[in-house]
Amino acid sequence: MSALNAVGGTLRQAQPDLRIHPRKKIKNQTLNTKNPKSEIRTIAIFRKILTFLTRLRSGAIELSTGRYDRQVAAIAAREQEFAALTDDGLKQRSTALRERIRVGTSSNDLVIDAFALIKEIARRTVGMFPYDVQVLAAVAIHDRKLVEMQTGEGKTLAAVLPAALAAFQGRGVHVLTYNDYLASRDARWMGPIYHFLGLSVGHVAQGLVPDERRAAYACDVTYLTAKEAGFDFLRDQACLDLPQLVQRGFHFAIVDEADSILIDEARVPLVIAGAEDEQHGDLHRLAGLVRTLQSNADYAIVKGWRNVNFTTAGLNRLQKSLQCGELHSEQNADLFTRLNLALQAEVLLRRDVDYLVRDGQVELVDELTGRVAENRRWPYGLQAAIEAKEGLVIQPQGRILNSITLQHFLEQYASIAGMTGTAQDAAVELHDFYKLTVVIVPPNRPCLRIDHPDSVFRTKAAKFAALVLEIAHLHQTGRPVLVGTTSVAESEHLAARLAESGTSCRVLNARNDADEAAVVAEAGAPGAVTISTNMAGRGTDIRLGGSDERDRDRVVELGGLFVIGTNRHESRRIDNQLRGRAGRQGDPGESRFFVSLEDDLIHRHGIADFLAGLADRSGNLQDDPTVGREIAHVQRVIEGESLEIRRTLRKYSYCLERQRRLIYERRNKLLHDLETPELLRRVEPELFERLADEFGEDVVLLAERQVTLFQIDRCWSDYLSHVAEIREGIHLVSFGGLDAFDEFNRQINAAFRELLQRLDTQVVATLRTARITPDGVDLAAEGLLGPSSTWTYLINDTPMGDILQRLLRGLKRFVTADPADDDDEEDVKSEE
Amino acid sequence: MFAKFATIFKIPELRKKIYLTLFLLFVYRMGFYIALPHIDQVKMAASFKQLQTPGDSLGQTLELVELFSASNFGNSTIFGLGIMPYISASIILQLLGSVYPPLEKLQKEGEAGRKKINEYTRYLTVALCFVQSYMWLLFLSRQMAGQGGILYSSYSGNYPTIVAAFTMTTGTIFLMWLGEQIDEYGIGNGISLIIMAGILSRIPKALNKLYETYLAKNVGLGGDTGVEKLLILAVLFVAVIVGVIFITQGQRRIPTQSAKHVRGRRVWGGQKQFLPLRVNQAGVMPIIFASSLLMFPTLILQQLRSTSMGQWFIIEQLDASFGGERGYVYNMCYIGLIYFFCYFWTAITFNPKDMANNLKDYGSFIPGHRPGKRTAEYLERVMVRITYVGAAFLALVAVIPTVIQGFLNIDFVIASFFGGTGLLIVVSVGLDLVQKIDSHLVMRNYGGLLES
Repeated sequence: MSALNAVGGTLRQAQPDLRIHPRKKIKNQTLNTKNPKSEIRTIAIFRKILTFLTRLRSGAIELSTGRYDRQVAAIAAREQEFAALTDDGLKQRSTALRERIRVGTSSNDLVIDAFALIKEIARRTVGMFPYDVQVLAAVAIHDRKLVEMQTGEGKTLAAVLPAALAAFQGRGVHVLTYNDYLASRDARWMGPIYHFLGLSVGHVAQGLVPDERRAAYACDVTYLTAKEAGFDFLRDQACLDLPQLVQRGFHFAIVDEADSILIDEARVPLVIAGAEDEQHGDLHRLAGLVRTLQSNADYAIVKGWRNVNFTTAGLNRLQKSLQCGELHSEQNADLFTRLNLALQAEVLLRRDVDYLVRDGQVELVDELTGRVAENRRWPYGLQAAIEAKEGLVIQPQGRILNSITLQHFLEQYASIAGMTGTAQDAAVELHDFYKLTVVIVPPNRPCLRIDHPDSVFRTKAAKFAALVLEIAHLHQTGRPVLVGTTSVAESEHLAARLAESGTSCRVLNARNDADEAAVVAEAGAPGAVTISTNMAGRGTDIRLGGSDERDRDRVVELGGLFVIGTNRHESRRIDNQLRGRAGRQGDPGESRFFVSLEDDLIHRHGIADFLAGLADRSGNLQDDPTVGREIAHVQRVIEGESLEIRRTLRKYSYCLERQRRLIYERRNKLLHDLETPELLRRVEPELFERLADEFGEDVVLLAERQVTLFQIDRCWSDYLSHVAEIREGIHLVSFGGLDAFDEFNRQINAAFRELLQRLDTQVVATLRTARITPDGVDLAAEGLLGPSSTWTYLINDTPMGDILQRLLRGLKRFVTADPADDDDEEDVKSEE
Repeated sequence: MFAKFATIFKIPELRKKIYLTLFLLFVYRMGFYIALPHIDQVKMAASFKQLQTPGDSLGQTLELVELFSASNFGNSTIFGLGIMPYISASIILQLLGSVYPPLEKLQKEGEAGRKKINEYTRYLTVALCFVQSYMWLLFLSRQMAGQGGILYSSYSGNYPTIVAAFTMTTGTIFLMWLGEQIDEYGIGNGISLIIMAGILSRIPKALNKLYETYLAKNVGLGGDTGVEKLLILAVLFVAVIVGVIFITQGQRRIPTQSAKHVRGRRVWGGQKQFLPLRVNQAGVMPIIFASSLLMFPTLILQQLRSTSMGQWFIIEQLDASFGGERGYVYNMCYIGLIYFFCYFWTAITFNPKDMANNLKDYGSFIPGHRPGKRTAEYLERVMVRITYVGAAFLALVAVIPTVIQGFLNIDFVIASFFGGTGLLIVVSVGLDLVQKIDSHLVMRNYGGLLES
């Protein structure tokens, strides 16, 4: 009987969308998985079902995990042996293990020994004994797989096992956490295990000085966010002096919340910028001028595509008030650009949705997480335009010295593995881009959450009314409710409506993110109603009964946390993350999404009419499975489109990344003194001889090395902006029947050659005039130190989409010859 | 240069693609040695030889059809129709798209619409193939070789004709599939490569003719078989190819300026963004259309000649012009039609309003021209001008074979290599292929073949 139940439990697990349990069955499902044998059999049956379900996923999900199961069993079998050892005995074992790895035993042969040992150490040091499912995850991570584990199943502990084993090799392991807080928490929390094993552990977070960073990177295991690692990488690449380096190579990284980092945020460019005199012009005046323009008369918003253009009337007005002559001329190009940006800032970017203003600063709101995206800016003058719109002091943007996307930064690692709660839906992409195979780890206790079908309404108003009723009703029973909204504005609107109806609630959004910990801690308390943006998604652990679980039994009795989504998101993964807040570690819980036919998702993708027709026929959409199917279909289509876009973007970055590697290789050889510079000797032998006679050959070579390093950075920075400009206009060549991608590669290939030549010319030119001292070149005196200060930030995808993204849409549009929504009165058609 | 060729084969992926393409083209050529069932190949060849005697206009016309359809009627083989029905179907659907609203709507539907149109193109191809092959076979079995056609005497009735028609249809569809395989796993555009291979396969024949006419006889100076003629031919050949490359690649680069992003200091000079307009936007299409259209007067005149009107002066003169000799009148018509179709095709495929809107959407503009209508007008004006030059070149290339044939008194098989559709196709497909290979090299940071 229990085996049958196990199958039932796992079946639903395999098809998360169908996980709708009739209430009464829940009690039977408290199946006991303490018996490892039954658990492994459960896993085996689970896999068989999965094989069948996912055969079409072309190897993106690992199915033949028998060897992992065997390893888990073997590790479990040695439990007694290690439990019997004293602390000293365990320490001896770990020293022996490290020794064996030192002499070259493959860590694959030591997995069982090592993991059994670390399991026991974990119990003694931090009081947690990894479950078999955690060990399964650990084994898979060790095999460089991407592990899917449900929320609250203990990813942090599972990552320790493979991290420690890899760290024995002495080359440094990075555990990339989702945010700075988790980095320091996990490093401290798991520290005792590493220390017991004789491994050092450190963490990096924003605000640390280079010495602290260097110390953290020198540790055997370093906890940090991918972004911090990327920023340090960029800073190291601009380093002119060997001792200033903070990182020491990229060996192995375990990425937490891997789907978010590797997919959603993978295209975010990390930027290092240096101070530069910036000409802002009179942005405030332009912002004021643009504010006086009338929608539809002076500018037209392109429907369905966040874009806005001046109309002829608007242009005439601007030209008159600016007294600048034709705006569409070369000499006015900069002015016109600023006007365009001012218009975008005025019309397209909404305060409290796209950004907040806090303490005189514009703060971006991340669309995916709903949080204030720290350290993030809009690119190319848009940030300054927003600051002007809000009447704030304009912050310097600086000159972009170097930039890399997270995706390409992560490719620097020799190997990566990952963990997340939602990998299945992104499996194909992860496999394509990172060669990562997903391994699905079943929960330790089966998930009892009931996922209700979506409630569907005709209008947004009806939806909101129903939401308020439903929340009030649940609140009266005393059940904790978590409501996920999509924007700051929506969360506040809903909170106000609830307050009107007399239901008290707490709001968690980007505006009050300082209270996050406090709000989340009590979100599971009886009677708590929490209205949140996507903030309460990923990584939020809501304990039933409040932070100390004092009323846990009562809440469980009531049915656990009820999660309500006010909208379906474009990505199923984000929906699933929200659902995942309920039903952690076998707790009961329920979830339901409220959808209206006026929602963006349904409206924009043209199923509104279909669903409305359906409603007319059946009169009731409330629990119609067709709706769910249609929405799932739309989500798949959108995911497919974004995958296609990301695939193309990746294609476009291929050449540049190769070139980056060539440049870095050359730079690192010079920096580490592995290669003697010989350009001067070759190109200008007389000068070289003269200088060598005067200062000695070593000094001249040192000078050349310093100058070359400096010029590499400078030329590369210029080159990046050049490439960005080429890329921006490359779609035009398809009009001439050329292949934009081929043409782009051809152009940047030629430009790269020019870069190499320019580099040589610049180095020789600098050396010709530079004053050489016995310490090489006085870089500061020669003005070769580069910017006096640098800072790092992330570039936000513009709300209008990435340059290339727009390019792709444009290409598609060209291919399909879709006539633009042309609200311009100069429309050709109207004159015909 | 040769070192660069060597690098092509250093890249395993590229090497594999090239070998596969060559293999598929080999398969395509093999098909020309597989005969159609029921047809007496000996009789067939004999009657074809009769058609191909110099001066016979039908023969020359057929030759032309073979040339640009990668087909070969001479030996009725499974690939007898070549890839032409597929091309015809694509052209028909493209042209229909600009006049028939439902199809136009489909064309605008993006990926899904394109797939649907592709599907329709294939259905139409099958239909065209069947009709074309059936007519052809009917012609073969009824009219040719006078008595009883060229079927083996033991076969009669509709059955063998239908079987052969099915075979030819399948052959063309198979060619289409081959082309797609090249697109997918090989390098270059499959269909284009197949056409090019068909044209190039005629080189041995032409060389043989050249050998027979000149080298096999006593080589000397002067006369019909003089060495100086060979020299002129060689120089002309190079000159024509250079000219064709010139127009195929020719583009007018209209500088554009982006007004979406603020840029920092610029140290890299040069035009970064431009809108290229092709001098020869229409490609080989005008020549194909013009020469196909000119087949009709040729055939009609031939019919007229055999009637009582055949003795009339005007008919006599016209037939002489349109017939084997390709006289003054024919060539003037030819040039006129090429001009017409150049503008026609450009008008269909070039949409200045779309371009102007696209520029506007990306925040780009052509300095000195307001976005929208004025930009569109400017683009149209430029296009009209460069098309005039492009069409002139195209016309020149088209008549060169006739001129050579006439002035130097050279066989058409040889002369056709000096211009016209064949050369244009070979050059543009060849350039395209080189560019594709180039981009593979460039991706790996090798220098491209086209760079010095």
